[in-house]
Amino acid sequence: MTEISAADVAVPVVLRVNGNEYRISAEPRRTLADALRDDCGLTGTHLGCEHGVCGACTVLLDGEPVRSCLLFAVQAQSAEIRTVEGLAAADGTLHPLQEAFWRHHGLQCGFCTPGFLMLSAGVLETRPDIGDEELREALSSNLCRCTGYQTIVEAVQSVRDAGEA
Amino acid sequence: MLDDEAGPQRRPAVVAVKPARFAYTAPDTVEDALDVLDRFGDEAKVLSGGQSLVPMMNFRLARPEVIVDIGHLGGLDGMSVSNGALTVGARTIHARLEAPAVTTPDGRSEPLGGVLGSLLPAVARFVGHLPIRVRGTFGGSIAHADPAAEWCILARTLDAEMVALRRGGERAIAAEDFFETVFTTSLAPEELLAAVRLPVLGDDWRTGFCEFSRRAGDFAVVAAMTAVRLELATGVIAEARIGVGGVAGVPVRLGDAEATLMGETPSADLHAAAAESAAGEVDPVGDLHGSLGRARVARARAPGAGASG
Repeated sequence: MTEISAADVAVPVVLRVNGNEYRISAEPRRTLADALRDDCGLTGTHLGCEHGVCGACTVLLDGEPVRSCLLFAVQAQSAEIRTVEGLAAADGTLHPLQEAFWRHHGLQCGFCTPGFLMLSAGVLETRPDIGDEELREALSSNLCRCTGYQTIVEAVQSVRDAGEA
Repeated sequence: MLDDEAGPQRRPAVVAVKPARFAYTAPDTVEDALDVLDRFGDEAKVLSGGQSLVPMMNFRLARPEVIVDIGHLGGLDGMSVSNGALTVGARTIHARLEAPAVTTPDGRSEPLGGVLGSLLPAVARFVGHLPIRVRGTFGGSIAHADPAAEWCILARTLDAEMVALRRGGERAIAAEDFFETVFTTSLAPEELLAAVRLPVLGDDWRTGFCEFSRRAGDFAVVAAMTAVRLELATGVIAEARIGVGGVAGVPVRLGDAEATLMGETPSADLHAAAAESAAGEVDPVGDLHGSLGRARVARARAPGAGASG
């Protein structure tokens, strides 16, 4: 018989985030975004619209960028998850994308930045020679209300061109 | 909000959640999934990629009692060709249709060629954004039955067959009978959409797809697909299919416009006549984007005009 977890009971959930294992307890309805922020304490992942439009909550799931507000934590148990906390090196050295966003003014208020960084990381790691048009299309996945996007595009292009991601 | 006395570091005692409560199960096999659906009927809802269902649950527009997560089921993804049909497994993610590959009978993977091999990627790029396309699934979109969804329009235009499984049985449902109204299909609560069969189009077919939306990645305000078969010797249109989405509760075929094309030779005048006929056949209701549908249909690319091969 297939196991069915009850609706109002938290179940043990194991998440692998940035190479670390988090053993948490979550109701099935808990989104991955909420689990990352509230149960794992990884508040770098931001929540904007919570229905898949803005992309602020983008994380990498087995290397591909996904909306963590559209996944339940229980669904993500067998996956390798990466969040913005995993980008910089342990000694604090910024990831090339973080450096490039800084250098190219790819952020202003910073709310959308974790989502854009993870989207960009996923795109460049899986499609390192992505063309300009395709890259703009990919970056149109997320919303930014400060920059006007051009500086974000330039930041990601510079990392692509340097082959650094 | 945080309690002032507790200081800014303290987490709220009540944790906010978006969706209503549901029981959850992630069966390992199709048989187990069908058992669960059989047991819970319309209390259960199938979760595939979740890119349409979960937003609706987050808004509490959908409040299923039991979620049946088919994300771990084997055998429901991938594509293969047999008996003149391309079978697309329901769990095939949109991104795989951007560069479609089929599994051959001897287990190899090779690029899908022909007319469908060009059409599917041309349509796939209109589906949401990249993060949606790597999670969302072909079958999920069809079962969700948004009347403006690209795959629903494609299924209706090409007269696809939906393969539905239930405990101890299987049936094929024609696209015409599958889409009933907005977000509503003829799938029974205990049935699981397992695959969609698309007819393989020969080299004498020409297809086109055109979509108008307010922003890249949005659902279409209106989208149209055409497929015509040409008598290669005479250049006359021998078969014509025109499907439109976003103008009614289901994707619709435009029979009058199709008839306008039959037996004729493609020309700018013919395309204009077909487009005029198409505009007369639809009566879209306005939505939050306004009453654009009718005008847009009239201007949508007519069959054959610059269509991809």
